[in-house]
Amino acid sequence: MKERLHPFQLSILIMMMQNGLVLYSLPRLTAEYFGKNGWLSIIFIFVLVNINIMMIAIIYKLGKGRSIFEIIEASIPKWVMVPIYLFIIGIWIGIASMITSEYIFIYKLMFFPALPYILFIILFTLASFQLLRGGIYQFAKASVVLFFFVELMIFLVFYLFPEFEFSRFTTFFFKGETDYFKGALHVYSAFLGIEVSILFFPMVEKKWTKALFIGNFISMIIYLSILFLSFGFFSFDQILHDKYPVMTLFEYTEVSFLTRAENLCFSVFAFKVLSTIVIYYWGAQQILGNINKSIKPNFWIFLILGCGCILALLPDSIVDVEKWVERLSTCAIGIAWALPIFVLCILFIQSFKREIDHAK
Amino acid sequence: MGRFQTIVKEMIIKKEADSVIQDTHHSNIKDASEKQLSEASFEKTLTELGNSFDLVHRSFNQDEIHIIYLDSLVDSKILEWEILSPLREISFHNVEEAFQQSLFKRENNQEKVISGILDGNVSMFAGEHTYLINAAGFEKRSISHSETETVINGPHDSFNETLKTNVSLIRRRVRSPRLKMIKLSVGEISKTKVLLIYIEGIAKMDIVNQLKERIQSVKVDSLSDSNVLIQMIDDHQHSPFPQFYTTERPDIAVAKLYSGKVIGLVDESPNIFCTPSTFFDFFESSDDYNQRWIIGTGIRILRYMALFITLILTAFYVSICTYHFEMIPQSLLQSIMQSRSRVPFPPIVEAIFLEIVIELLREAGARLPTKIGQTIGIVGGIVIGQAAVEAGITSNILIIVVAVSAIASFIVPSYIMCASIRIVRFLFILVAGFLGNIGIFFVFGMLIIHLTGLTNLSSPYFMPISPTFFKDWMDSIVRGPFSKIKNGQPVHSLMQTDGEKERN
Repeated sequence: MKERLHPFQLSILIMMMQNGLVLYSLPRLTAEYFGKNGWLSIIFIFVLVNINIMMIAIIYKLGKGRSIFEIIEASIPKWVMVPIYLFIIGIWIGIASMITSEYIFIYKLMFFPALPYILFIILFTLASFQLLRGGIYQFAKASVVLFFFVELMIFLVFYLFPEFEFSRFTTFFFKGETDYFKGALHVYSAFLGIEVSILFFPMVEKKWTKALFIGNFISMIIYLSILFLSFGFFSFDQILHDKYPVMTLFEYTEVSFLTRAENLCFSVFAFKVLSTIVIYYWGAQQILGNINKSIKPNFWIFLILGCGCILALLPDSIVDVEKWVERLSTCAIGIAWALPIFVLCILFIQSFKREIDHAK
Repeated sequence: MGRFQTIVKEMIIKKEADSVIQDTHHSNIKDASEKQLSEASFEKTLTELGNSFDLVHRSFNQDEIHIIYLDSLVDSKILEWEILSPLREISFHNVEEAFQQSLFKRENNQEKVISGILDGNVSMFAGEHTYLINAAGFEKRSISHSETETVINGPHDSFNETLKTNVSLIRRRVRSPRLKMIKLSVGEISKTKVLLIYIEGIAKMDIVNQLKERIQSVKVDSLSDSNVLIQMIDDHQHSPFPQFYTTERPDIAVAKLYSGKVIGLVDESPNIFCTPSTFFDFFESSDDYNQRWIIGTGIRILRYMALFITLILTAFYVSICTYHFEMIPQSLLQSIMQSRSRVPFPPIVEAIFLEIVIELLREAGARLPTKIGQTIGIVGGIVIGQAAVEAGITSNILIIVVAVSAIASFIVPSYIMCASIRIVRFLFILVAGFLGNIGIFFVFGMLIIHLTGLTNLSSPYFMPISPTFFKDWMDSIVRGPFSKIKNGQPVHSLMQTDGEKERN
């Protein structure tokens, strides 16, 4: 295979595939669960995510570039793993479809109450199909260009500086009604998506692991700056009572020929949401492809997109969707930690066995 | 039993030997008859080329020497000086000495004689031998200004329809033995000549070979233009975007050669194509290089802005006026509402109507002679500008929006790319009318996914941006100073290694 993902492409891809939709409610979530100056919590979670991706990097190094399927199936028969694989696939397809419907529900709620929900699902599915069909290389290429447009929106933040005041911060840290564990889960879900990179091993160049950290770092910087800005822009109570504070933040932007750019921002954000969805679908497709290698990848794409489509049609309201996203995110965080730990254990056992063999 | 076996064996062996003898006999006869068939004679040539208005047959020396040629393809001066006058004086036996060595060659194969005549040769039949004497010379257009790709500074010559002239225009600019050419022919009937040109050592040979194979695999009866050929050898034939860059300016063609690309010339076509091309090639003009780099860069950025304006401006107007009124600032809202208050249609109908009128005007103006074209301009200007607003069919602001996006679309230097973009933006307008901003962004996303997925001869179409090669940006996204532009060598000394450039 000639084509390999370059670290530059990869870091952008990783940044794009993290679940950015959480960002819109992130100031409220941090305020709700971490209390005063809750924005600092993102740094702690960032450290946790780094430990998680460190494990992935170690697996790559110890496994010497073998894909995780090769590593696992060298020690454990495939049929034992199939139920676990299916569970992961189910969670990933589920979370992808729930993120789709969350985005659409928010869009309907804020801008477009009369819009047919199903039309959006079809649009997202079409775009996902186009990206999935080309494989990860095509996806990476497209995401680099999409990234430029998403990140352009960050410049709108400059319009908000005049309204920013340090006096809105308090000297209290993490005080108020707090629930650190639940809050950590919520904030962590903003970094989700990165765990799929454990499947990248056969498609990357050797020194790719730095891309993981760089991509994650860019995400963190963006989250942190938006959070910091919101805490200085709104009062603490305001943040607590606003469902999507970042949306309100962008409502204040005004140029001489354009006001209320939150609509534009949220529309462009569809690219990031699309990237997150596609990476989960892609991950599911890879695992399915590993379970049965003889079936054409296009069949799996149709199957996955079909499932995703149907699942996305199930919820009735944003409250429903949020519940589901919460549950599935918790499972996905579980997978994000359990899978690398599991693979690391296998690797240690394998190397231990090898040492014993050598000794013999 | 054993004896019986040997008898049978002997019989079989004999039979085989017999059949071998028979076979050789057969093939001998076949060869002879084929030879007879393919051997050139003036009677056969005459019958094969019969019923041609320009066919000339003359005989000399008491019907011992015959010459046959097509009057329309032969230069009459060469014919008179080099062929006819020597023929009148010579005897039958010293035919070969009478002509200039360089001009004639002996050819006995009937098919080759016919194709030689069709190439503008005079065929001469003297006893057993047949000669082809090159006297080609046909009417051709002189080298003139390029009508479609004008520049303000720099060379003004352009290719014409004659392959030889076009090659000379390139040869004059590349005085090097490293300039290599591959001659191919496309078309079962037309046998159109296609020439691939590259500079050895700069161009990648696998691209040359791939292009050659692809052109050889084209199976058609005739080929009329290079623009037709490139559509047949495209990687993605259903894409609305042109994937091979075409130009009729020799200076651009040579610049492409020096940057390691392969160019293709088609006989009877003033356009050359080059490969591997990227999306950004279509936004370059040689004027960018003939000015100071800051101005060149500014103009290039202006073109990319124009691309966005063309694609999105009208669609954005439709979307805002239909769904997102809150995005219009209060001061602007008043004037927009005033101008829209008399219009009975929804914005999408109004916009599509006006866009179609502009397309009609463009198409009508493109095919008309200049003098009538002016009339179209005046009629269009008055009817659309003034009357449509007064009649209350469209609003003032929409006319400005549509006019700006029409002007912006013509800033793209390549007409073919400009036409593609103009068609694609209709999709944007339609979706904006039905779905608003999110629709625009969806189509935009799909467009990006489509464009980044395209390849030209397996080389990515969106090259310096994605896959990203920052150093190449100096000569594609902007026009950097010459010290920053990589000179000549194709893809070395980059951020990434050479092998990576082959990523798709």
